[in-house]
Amino acid sequence: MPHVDIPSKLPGITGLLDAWPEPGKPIRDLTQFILRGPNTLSEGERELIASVVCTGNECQFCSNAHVITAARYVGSVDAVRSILANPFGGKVSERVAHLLTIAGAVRQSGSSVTDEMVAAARAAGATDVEIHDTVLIAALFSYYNRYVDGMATDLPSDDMYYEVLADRLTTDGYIRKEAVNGTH
Amino acid sequence: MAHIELPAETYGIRGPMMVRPEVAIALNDMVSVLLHDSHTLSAGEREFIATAVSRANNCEYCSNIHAAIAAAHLGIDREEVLTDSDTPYSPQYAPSSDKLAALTRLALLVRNSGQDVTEAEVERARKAGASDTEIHDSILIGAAFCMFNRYVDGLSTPVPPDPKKYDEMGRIRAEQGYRAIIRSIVFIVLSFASTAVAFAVTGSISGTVKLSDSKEPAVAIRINDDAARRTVYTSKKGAFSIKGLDAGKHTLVLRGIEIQDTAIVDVEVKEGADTELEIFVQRRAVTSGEVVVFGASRKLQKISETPAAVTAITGQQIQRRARGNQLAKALEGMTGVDIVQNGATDFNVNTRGFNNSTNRRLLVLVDGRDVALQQIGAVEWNSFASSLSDFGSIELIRGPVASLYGANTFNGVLNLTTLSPREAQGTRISLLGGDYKTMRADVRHAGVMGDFSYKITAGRSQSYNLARNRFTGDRVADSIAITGEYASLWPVARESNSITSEDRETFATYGTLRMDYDIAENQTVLAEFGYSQFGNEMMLAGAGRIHVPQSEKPFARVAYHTDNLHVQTSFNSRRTIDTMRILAAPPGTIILDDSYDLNLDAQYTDTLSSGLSYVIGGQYQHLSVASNRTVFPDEPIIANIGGIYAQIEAKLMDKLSFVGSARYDNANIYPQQFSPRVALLYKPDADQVIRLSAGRSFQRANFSELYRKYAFRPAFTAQGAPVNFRPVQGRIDSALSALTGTQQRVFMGLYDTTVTNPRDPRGIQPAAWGVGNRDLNVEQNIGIELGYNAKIGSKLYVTADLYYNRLTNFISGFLPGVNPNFASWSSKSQLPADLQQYASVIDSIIYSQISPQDRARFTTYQGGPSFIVSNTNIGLVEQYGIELSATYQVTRELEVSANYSYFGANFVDVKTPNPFLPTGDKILSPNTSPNRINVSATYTVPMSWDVSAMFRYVEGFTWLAGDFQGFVPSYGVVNLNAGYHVTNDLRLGLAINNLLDNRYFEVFGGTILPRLTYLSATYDF
Repeated sequence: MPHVDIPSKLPGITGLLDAWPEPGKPIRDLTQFILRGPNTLSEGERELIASVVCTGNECQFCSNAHVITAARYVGSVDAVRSILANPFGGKVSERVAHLLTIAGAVRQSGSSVTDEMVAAARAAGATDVEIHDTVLIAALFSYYNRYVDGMATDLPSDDMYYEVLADRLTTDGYIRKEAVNGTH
Repeated sequence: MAHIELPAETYGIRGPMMVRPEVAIALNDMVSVLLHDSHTLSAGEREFIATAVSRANNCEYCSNIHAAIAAAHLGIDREEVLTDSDTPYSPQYAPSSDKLAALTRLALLVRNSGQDVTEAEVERARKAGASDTEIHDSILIGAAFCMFNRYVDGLSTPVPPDPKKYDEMGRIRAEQGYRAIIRSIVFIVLSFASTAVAFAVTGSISGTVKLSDSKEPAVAIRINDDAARRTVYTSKKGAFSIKGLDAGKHTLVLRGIEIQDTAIVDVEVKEGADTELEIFVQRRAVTSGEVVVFGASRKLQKISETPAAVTAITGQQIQRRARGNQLAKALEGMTGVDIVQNGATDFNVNTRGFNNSTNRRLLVLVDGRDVALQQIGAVEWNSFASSLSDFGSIELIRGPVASLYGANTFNGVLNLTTLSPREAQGTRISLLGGDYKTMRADVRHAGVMGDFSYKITAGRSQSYNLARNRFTGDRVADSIAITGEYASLWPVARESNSITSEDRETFATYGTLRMDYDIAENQTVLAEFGYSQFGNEMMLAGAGRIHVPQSEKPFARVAYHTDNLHVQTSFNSRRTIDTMRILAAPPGTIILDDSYDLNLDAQYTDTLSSGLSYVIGGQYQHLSVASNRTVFPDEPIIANIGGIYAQIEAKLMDKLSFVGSARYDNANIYPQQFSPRVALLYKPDADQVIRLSAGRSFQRANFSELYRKYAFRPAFTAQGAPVNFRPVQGRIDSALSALTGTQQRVFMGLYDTTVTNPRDPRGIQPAAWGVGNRDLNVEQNIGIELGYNAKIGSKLYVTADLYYNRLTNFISGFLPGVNPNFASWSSKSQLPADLQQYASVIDSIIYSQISPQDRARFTTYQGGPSFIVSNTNIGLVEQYGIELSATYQVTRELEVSANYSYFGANFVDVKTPNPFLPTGDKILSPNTSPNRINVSATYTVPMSWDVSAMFRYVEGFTWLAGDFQGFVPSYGVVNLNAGYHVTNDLRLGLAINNLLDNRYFEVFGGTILPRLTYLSATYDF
């Protein structure tokens, strides 16, 4: 049960963004920009970065949502899990693998990102903007996970919710459509 | 070293934000909601939570900067906040110490994992008094700083070499809020693409400036590179280029009338290369408290933080709202504005009661020049030398502000500012046409040549006056005659002069020339000359309508401005080319004007420390008023007025500021005056201000009230014919003969036997004069005011003002029997000694011929009987009112606003020395509506089209000004305005005033206002 009354019927982050739109709006815009905006990293690669953080932080709602969403790009939930378990397993490029490593470091703390990690990513072809975006995505999900768990939000009553959410995140993105009763 | 390449000398989060401006917008918006915007927890307390989380996350930049911001909010040292945040469960200085400790604890628990927030911890916060919202927000702040800290450290961003930098940045952030970052830095897309220019040893910066909302080019934006002492302006396409810059870091500051001040820091200039920028600037908010105004403190400040109630309109709004022919129209419907229209271009503008047909209780300044017609102190709205499109802003300061401006700011100040040449760069042609043969053409051209800039404006405006002929004697000249006017007016304003249709061709021809020279950065000297020739406006005065056929007003000013010092000297003159005439005065009564004034203003403003600033200034005014002896017997009348003033603004506590100002005036036409004013401003949070102020103001008598002598209306019988004393003289002789038993002939001097013109009433009755009173004192206004303004969320801005004023010594209109210098006439003065005993009988015969009103003005003047009206100081009145306004930005395009004003007055003691005259509100009227409501909606698609509709409701009220005494019935009027951009450069406008064509009038004695439609076109190139 949530710690305080959340004036929304939606589970997880969806309910929080719905109930507190003022801080929610800019962060939703940011999420849309950084995960769906024009980028040299693909949407799927960026969802993998999000998933690294969500699973590492053991945020149930967030990791389910993003692993399932990433699966839409990668192929299957199992494929996502295997990438997260071993980024250098050949399923993603070396460049992305290095970025996932950086994301994992950011999850622990900002200062865990070492010069070596960055140099390795750069050597594998990562640009400054990609490194920037990776750090920001990882930081962003460090926030989401804490917000969702810190408020003890409800989980969806039906796991189908994640599928519907993934549908929406892969098609409409993170921008909320007025007519739709709330997603990310 | 940072993990990625960042702009040099940017610290912490600022660097990456510049790499990704879109990120900056979202993050600053978010952090503003979390830490700065209105909240039950103070900004200082929330910054403390942010500091504690950042400190626990070991983020050096974040913990220091947020400690500095918290310190600035709380009025303590950064070190203190840092130390305290190490033991965050007992913050010493927090107003809500226990609660804050519990909330900080929640935020710190989140830091490790959200799952660490247990129900027990939440309950603990609740017990300490935290609300659900506060609990949520603390968790949110905790989570958010886990993001910010990781963003900053994950990229290994640099920290400032000198920790003092934090304090400086913290102070600015606490003052300006986070959204200022969006405004000031981040809207740039740095493209490091460089074009090598082989031979150059210096580099350049070029690019375009665009408006962030519409992405349209921002034109005529001033761009300063302070260090390089360079200033450039953007072109029509928003483009700019600064060449010959030394390699290294440059900071650009962008300023413009319609944009937020924007600073672009750390622009890298490389040798032989061009750094190209695409800069997005924010439109200056015009509805919220962000609007910057000058007049309330005589220095620039945010409208929400002024020590007085202010209504402001920007240049763009002036254009939009006054698509008709009149500048004053732009003010219509604004909060607390009382504006009434009489003629085509004749308005009077007031605020807060005690209006008059020739209102002078509101000081009107154009670029600091008092533009009133000095003879009577009123403003002629068609006499301005500047065209409508040349005004950059209008500010109305509601309530008395004599403490800065001296005399005549009894009700407030209206500050009009014209555009500088740099702001007006390019050429603009405006054309307008519409009902009542209205036509207007304006041309403006302004250019810049290095440090020198110039502006030339010229225009012609004309229309057929709405005022009609009220003459119904045997010479009805105008076919429209009085059928267009309202019947109840007629017995009061008997006009003996007719106006021909030529007299109704209202016109104004005008122009200005201005030259600015920038001596150095922020140091400008300017000279401006202007001239206007105008006429055929019908002004409504207490003595009747005044027809002004043709007058001219030349002016010149020279000014020197730096950031701190403003010095201006100006010369203003007004001369009649053709005579003015009062339509109700006897034929042949004319008024000429040959007046000028010289003004010297100097003012210095400075900030001593972050919480202490001051303004000091002095003003000297030399006025010479003359009428070629048409209305002033002794002239020229010279007035010398000197004033000195000072204002100090001090931050008393974290949220409380004090503004005190005072002015001393010494003049030869009124007693010396001291006008103090104090204000307290309390800001519970960044979005709300509560203001309490009290002050004294005064109104000097105008030259007409002091010195005038002019032919006044003759005495009329109840049947409307002039009283004829020729037969009365016969009856007096008969009565004296009967009483004494012998034939008597004693000429009473009741008429001028030499007058043969049958139309001149002096042939049948004594001369009638209006005569000023040199002993008049100033009017006094002592008032207290409570104001509140708040930004609620991001879309709603509300203001509320309450005032109470105690007004004394009103200068009455010309009234009979109020000036003790003129004693009642008695036949005693004419009767020989042996007939003195019959004086009362003779007096009763004479007095029975005239109305009680005329009896009171039947006095001895220059030895014989005369009808004299004069004026006096009367009254003690309490006035009070409420002004409420709300502006709601429904969508980016649609804005709705509404305002309401209530006015009430209590006539404590209002009576004249003449016991036959009425008292209280029967002799003095506030001449304003008790309840007025304005509702408007504006839909704007920038640079495309806009439409606005306004409904104005004014509840009926009594009007009482000289001869014009009657009731102005309630009216509701709908005005419609629309604009369409055919191209970026060509705009069309439509304005319909009084859309439903209601028959109504706004001032008793004024004209019935029909529907008026205007079409306009403006072309820029």
